[in-house]
Amino acid sequence: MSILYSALLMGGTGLLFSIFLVIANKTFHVEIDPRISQIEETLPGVNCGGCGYASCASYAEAIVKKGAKLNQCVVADKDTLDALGTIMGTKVVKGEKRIAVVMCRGDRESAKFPGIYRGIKDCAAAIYSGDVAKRCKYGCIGLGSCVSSCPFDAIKISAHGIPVVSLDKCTGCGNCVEACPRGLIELHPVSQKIHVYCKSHDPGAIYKTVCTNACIGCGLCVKAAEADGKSDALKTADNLVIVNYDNYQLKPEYIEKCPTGAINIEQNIIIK
Amino acid sequence: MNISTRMIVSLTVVTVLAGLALAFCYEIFKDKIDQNAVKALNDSINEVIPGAVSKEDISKDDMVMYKVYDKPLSDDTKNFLGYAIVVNAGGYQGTIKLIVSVTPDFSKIITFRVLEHSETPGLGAYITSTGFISQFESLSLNQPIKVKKGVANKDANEISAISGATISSKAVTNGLNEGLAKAKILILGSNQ
Amino acid sequence: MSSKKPAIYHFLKGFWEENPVFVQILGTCPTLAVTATAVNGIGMGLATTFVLILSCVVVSIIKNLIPNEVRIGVYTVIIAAFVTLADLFLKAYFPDLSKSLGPFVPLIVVNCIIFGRIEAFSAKNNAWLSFLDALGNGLGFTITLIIMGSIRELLGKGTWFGIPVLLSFYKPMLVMILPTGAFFTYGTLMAISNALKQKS
Repeated sequence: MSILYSALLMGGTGLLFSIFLVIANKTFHVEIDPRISQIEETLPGVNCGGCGYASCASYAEAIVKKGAKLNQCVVADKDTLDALGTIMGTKVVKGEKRIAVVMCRGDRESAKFPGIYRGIKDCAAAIYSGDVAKRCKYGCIGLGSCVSSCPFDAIKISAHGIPVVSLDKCTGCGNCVEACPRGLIELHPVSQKIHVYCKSHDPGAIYKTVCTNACIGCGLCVKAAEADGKSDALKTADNLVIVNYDNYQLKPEYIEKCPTGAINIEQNIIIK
Repeated sequence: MNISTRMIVSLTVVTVLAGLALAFCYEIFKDKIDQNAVKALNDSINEVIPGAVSKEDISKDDMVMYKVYDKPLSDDTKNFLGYAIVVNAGGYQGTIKLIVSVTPDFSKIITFRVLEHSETPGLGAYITSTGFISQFESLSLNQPIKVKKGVANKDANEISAISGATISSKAVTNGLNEGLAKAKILILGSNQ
Repeated sequence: MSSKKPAIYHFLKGFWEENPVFVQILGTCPTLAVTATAVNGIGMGLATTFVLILSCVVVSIIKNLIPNEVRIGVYTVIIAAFVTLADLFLKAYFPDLSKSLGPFVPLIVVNCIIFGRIEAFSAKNNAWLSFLDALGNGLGFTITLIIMGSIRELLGKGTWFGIPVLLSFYKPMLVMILPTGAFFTYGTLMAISNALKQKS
């Protein structure tokens, strides 16, 4: 009756181990608040990190255990936020949507590329190639590390070699901000449409050999703002104009005198 | 039922079912597997003792040994062709399993075959080649076989090692020496 | 956030898009160890496919009955049962293949492809899709093993499925049937696969 013996032996082993697992389960049991899994199921489940936590699961845990704010999820729409509010018993107000802004307009037409880069398709890797990838030491290399990092397909390299952000798909999660090795991407509220699209500290004298869309820190926009009574809206520092984002006050008239087109409006690029 | 009971029931049921299914399958395949083993053994005996028809199992003490005849065991006119002995040797990469045949008076090796080995292909694996094996044929069992690097003197019971595979060559030789010495004592008694 | 894919996609993805050997990089141990000959490759591939299909389908049928806490044990017992069945079958009807595959048939139990597909797919999908997924992955694995085995056998021994093909004028590169050759072949084929994928 070896069949019976085998079945008993296997079954006995299974029984023993399952009892062992039951004991282990009870010994190592962790009390879990059911709201955590409810919230986790309500959240989009993309694990983009936009809320500031590593995953939707950890954000859910933070909400229930540590009182994290309910409107930190950048991907959640109004229905999701209302559902979160219902689970936790509070009202949720969505913060203003922020999207990614790429602070560089040095594309294939305006910037100088001293050589042909044939290496790993990663911006951080290309920086080590010296100036081959691009002469401007501050500008966008255009190999698409930001594109790979986006979980929403919201950023793409345009035909001219510079990333463009899709306003409807971008959720402001911040993954591209982390991915850019030159820190050229920043998150700003959608309502802020005027930015200085350059981070180069190269002096004006050489800008024509580096990139014709560069900010040379000439300060014409600063003067225009001062003339309008907004003296702290913009300032120059080390050949570059810096926007005051704490008190954003930029208007389209400030950018009219820009000789290179570095300070510009998002949707309406003035080509010089 | 609560989670603990479900855990116990599901794991136990699955293992019982698996045990039943496997035992059942084993019964189905067991005969064919045994047949294969018997066929493999008979095939290897036929290779080392040409003309073999039947064998008598005289295995003892972990040594697998057979007396081989040229006619069925029931036939009284059968001739005793020799002994077929399975020898295990410690090779370079693992155990080398050999089947060696010796003359009925245990004086000479007839031949051997390698049943299993894990020696290096292209080097130690040459122990399966006829060139290597033929060196052992008709060597005397009255003294140990010796391995020489380079030219060997067959009259002095020497064989030539495979160049680049001295360890494998020595493994086979030592295995044969030790295994056959042990078999000789078991078969012929310790005073021979 | 994934769009609904047609059932046939789950079968086809195992061949190229989610090839278990070059993309998912699972089951590396048998891939390197048994591909010294093409016949070993096809034998291991089919044995693994057999176990993969049965395990994935059974798991996807009973997935709701098994508590989360014991699922690893239960899945492993199921996989091990099917592997034992495959091993017995090979020993009975293909004894030479069984001998040359050696310990790698029992090792199918811990082949990552099987547990990988079960956890990633069968535990969350119905039996039909699980069957397609397992079949695709298994056949993709098999074809890859045949390719690797063929290359290594042709270059390392001059034969293909045991038939001498290159023997007369070609001196075999012994290194190809050794572990070194396994890594060379694996790496080269993966590089080619990645290059082709990047182009598309």
